[in-house]
Amino acid sequence: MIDEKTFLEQQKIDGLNIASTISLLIFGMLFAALLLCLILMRDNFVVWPPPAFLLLSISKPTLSTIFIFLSSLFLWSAQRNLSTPEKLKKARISLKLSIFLGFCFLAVQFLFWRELNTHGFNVESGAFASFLQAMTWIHAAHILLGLFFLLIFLNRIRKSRTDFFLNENEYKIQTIKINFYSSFWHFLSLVWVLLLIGLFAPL
Amino acid sequence: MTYAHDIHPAPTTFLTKYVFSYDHKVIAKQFLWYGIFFLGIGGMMALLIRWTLAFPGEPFPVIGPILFPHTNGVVPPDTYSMLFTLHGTIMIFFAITPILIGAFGNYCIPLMIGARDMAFPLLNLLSFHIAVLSAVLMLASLFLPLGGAAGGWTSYPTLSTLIGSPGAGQTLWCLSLFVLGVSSTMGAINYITTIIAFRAPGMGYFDMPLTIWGLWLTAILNALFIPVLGAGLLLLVFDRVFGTTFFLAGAAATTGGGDPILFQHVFWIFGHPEVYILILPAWGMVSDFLSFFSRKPAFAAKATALSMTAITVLSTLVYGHHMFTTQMSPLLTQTFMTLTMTISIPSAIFFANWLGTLWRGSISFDTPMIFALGVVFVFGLGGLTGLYLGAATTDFYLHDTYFVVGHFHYTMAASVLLGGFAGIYFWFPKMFGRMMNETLGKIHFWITMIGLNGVFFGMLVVGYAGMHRRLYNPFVYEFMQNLIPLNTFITWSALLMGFGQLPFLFNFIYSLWKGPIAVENPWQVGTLEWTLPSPPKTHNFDTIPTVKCGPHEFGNPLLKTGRDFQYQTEELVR
Ligand SMILES: [Cu+2]
Repeated sequence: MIDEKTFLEQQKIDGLNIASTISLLIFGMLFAALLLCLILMRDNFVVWPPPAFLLLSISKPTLSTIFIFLSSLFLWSAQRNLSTPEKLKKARISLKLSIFLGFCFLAVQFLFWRELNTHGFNVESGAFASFLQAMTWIHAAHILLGLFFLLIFLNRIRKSRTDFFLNENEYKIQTIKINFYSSFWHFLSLVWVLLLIGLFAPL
Repeated sequence: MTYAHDIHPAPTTFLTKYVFSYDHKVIAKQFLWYGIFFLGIGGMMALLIRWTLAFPGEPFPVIGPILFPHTNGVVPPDTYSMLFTLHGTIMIFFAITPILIGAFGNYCIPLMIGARDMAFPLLNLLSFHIAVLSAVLMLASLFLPLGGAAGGWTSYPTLSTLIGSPGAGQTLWCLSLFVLGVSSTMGAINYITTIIAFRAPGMGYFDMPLTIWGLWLTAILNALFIPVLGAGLLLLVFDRVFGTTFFLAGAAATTGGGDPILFQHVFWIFGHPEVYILILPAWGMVSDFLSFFSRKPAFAAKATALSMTAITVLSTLVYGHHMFTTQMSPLLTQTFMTLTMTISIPSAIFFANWLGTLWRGSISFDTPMIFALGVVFVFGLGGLTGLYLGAATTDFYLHDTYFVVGHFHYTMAASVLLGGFAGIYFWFPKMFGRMMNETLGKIHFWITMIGLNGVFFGMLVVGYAGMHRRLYNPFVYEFMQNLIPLNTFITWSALLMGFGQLPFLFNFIYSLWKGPIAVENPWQVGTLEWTLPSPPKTHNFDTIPTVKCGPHEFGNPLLKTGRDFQYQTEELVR
């Protein structure tokens, strides 16, 4: 005879671990497919990025990169401070900074899209502009989802919620979820870098 | 007992019991009804297509004048394109997927591995209702002014861009499939997680029934490759709605336009695994049924499971064989060809294992078994015809002919349909607590079997003779005209097959209410679901079972229990 309650709780924890891995893999495959399209498209061009690219200032993508990189860094620091109630305070500050930087990233993206449209890189003007716009749209949509996840994370460790450490199993479950939310954010940073390389690296 | 009841309470209201149920068994039945409904619609579309090919210009009997009043019941050319597009889409995504994966996946996984429900019941519930939303989108597209999608189920650009299909039907088609993809990936997360984490204590991977192996591998492929289709659909929607030019080659010379072939890459990276997504659950079930009804252990069950795994891995590497005629480099052509041919090695292994299971078994020809044997036959034919399409030299000739249509109907339609029916006849007693009628089941089998071979073998023949697919009226070409009798024969076979489903429908509905009450274990099988009453309680298992032996322990001469099989909860008698 097995102790059913312990067994089922272990199942639940294992299940969450597996499911979060698979979920990341699913998003990974989506972006892998999009990046593959980009790579195959580059192959059709004699020069990549196309000469018109010289008209484009890359100051905004650079700023975005700095924001998302710092955001990931602060998030990482928040993740490392979840073990005791004292450290949790530090985690809260890092996490808030990370979320703020995430919103900054989005704001810069909006400015970037405006700039693209005013400089003639609207979606109808060829495959390069199509990729430039659509890839950043899809990425930004996931950034929104990622920010939503980070807000849930923030809610889990908010000050008024004192039950975070009470129950060992509950703590395990919470950390799995938090790790999933955070990994998703780091994953989006990685995708951003790969996108930049795919879009701007010369052939 | 009380603990199980607490976390899986029996629902009390109509809505929580039948509509918004968290119970995997109810969700399975929802998917079953959903699939059977669309099987009817997709089948009707097939008959309209076949009628047009056999009797061009003649009105479709009875419902023709109602559907196409402007042409007095004759299928118009643009509608014809819509019909073959939606026949494929509906059969693959709205009939086969919900029945094989949605219904049997949901029903069998928790019951056969000794779990009380799926890992995430809420996700499961959402998965079904999102699938319903997707179906609504797809059906709604039929009523648009320019009709539904008409670019083929593969929706290649430029047919599927605004140039080829200006109507909103194609956009809705893309959105519908994207939404369905969300539903399927949610299901896949649930299936994979449940199978890895929720197996009963003592159940190793090789103690799982092969049905579960099939469903597991399917779920893995779903999780990995539905997102790839999603990416393709997203870009296609962007092209159609926002004016991007991913797949529009028109302006390439001046502004660096897109590439229609790009979509084919994405589509087939998903599309080839999709074939295995559909067939793997059927393979799994058939592997089990052959053992159950031969009263013998499944021959080399481990090798069967590993072969299925090998095929799953290989299926991700061969998609290029759909694109031999797109001017790909000869090096790539040969690579894809060789990799494709490699699939025949594991296929041959598990096919031989099937025959090994049957060899000298005491076979009882119950309905699930004859359907399973039907799968062995039609899958053998389907697999063999695939070799001609996987080899570039023969594919150049056969590409886009009815030979292709015949081949993929043998593999994905015939095998999966027969496998699905085998599953329905087999698990019906457990699902609904009543038995289906055996005689009607056998009539259903023989009519279906004769009909489908008439249709699909006929297709192989006319395809080999050079008839191309997707033509509204191939007989405007003079050299095609001597294929009219053969096409008429195919159509009569299709009608026979269509009418052959009536005994099934009657049997299914009649048995739901009037069938004889099923006992706990009517087929005398040892897997975990048959240790439960028919139908099982909401929480399945009062206590989580401990598994002590494999799923196919039949005919052990040392058994003293008076049975010829062992339950998986019993210690293996040595
Ligand atoms: Cu293929």
